[in-house]
Amino acid sequence: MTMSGGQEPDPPNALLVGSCSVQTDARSVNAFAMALGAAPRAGTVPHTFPISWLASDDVRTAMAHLEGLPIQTFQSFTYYKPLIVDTGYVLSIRLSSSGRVTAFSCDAKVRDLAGATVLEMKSEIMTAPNVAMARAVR
Amino acid sequence: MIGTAPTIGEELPASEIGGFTQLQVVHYAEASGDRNPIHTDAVLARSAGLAGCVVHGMLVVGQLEEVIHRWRGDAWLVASSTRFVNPLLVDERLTITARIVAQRTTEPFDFVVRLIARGSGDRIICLSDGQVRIGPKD
Repeated sequence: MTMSGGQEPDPPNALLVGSCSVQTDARSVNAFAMALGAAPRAGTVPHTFPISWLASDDVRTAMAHLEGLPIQTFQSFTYYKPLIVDTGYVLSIRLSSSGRVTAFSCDAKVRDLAGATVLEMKSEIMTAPNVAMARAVR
Repeated sequence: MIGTAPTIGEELPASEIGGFTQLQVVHYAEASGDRNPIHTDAVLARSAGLAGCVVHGMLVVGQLEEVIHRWRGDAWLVASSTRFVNPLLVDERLTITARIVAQRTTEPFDFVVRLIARGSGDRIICLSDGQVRIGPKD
């Protein structure tokens, strides 16, 4: 997954602003549901599945600016309509720091190919000051 | 249970999980793309001051949807907002309790469910508010 530059202006302290194509391919959705230990529900996408879209190389690279071990402190999902299996979407991400290198937030929006917003999600992450650990994580 | 309307104060059936094994955590790391070694490398996790490998917070959050579905097959988790409080260790017991705390006063009259995930010794792992819609997922 490769990000392209966003159309909207960069927020202050932005580490990454961009968008990319993502998919709810059945194989990935099923693997994610099984990893959750979830009861199989044909044709549905787990509520938290879109978190896997944030594990892109671009996001990892942006996070490499941070000092320490990333620890998630908050996560929200707001759906405007359900995700559909085997469907393409557009993911937009703003990864920004709060002015400190020990805390940042990731705001993501998922749109369908017609441009309608399907989902918004927000992550907040802090870093633990462990330099050796941080090197290993990266 | 399908058919009767939920009531404010209603408790959902608690969910007891004996603990996520290291293998389950490894599977989740693969499926989600979150390969932070604090989840899979005990030596590294201890060097970061943790008691051992910790379960992905998002693996815990993924269980919240299961709690909702086990309660009612016609309930859809439309939104969730989760604050992570403490790490859950691999193989540590997890209990999730949930209660309906409010109902939106505007259509579609979603219910607000407060979920609390606790580990050993009733230590709070995360607190979550879920917005639940009763009816077909469309």
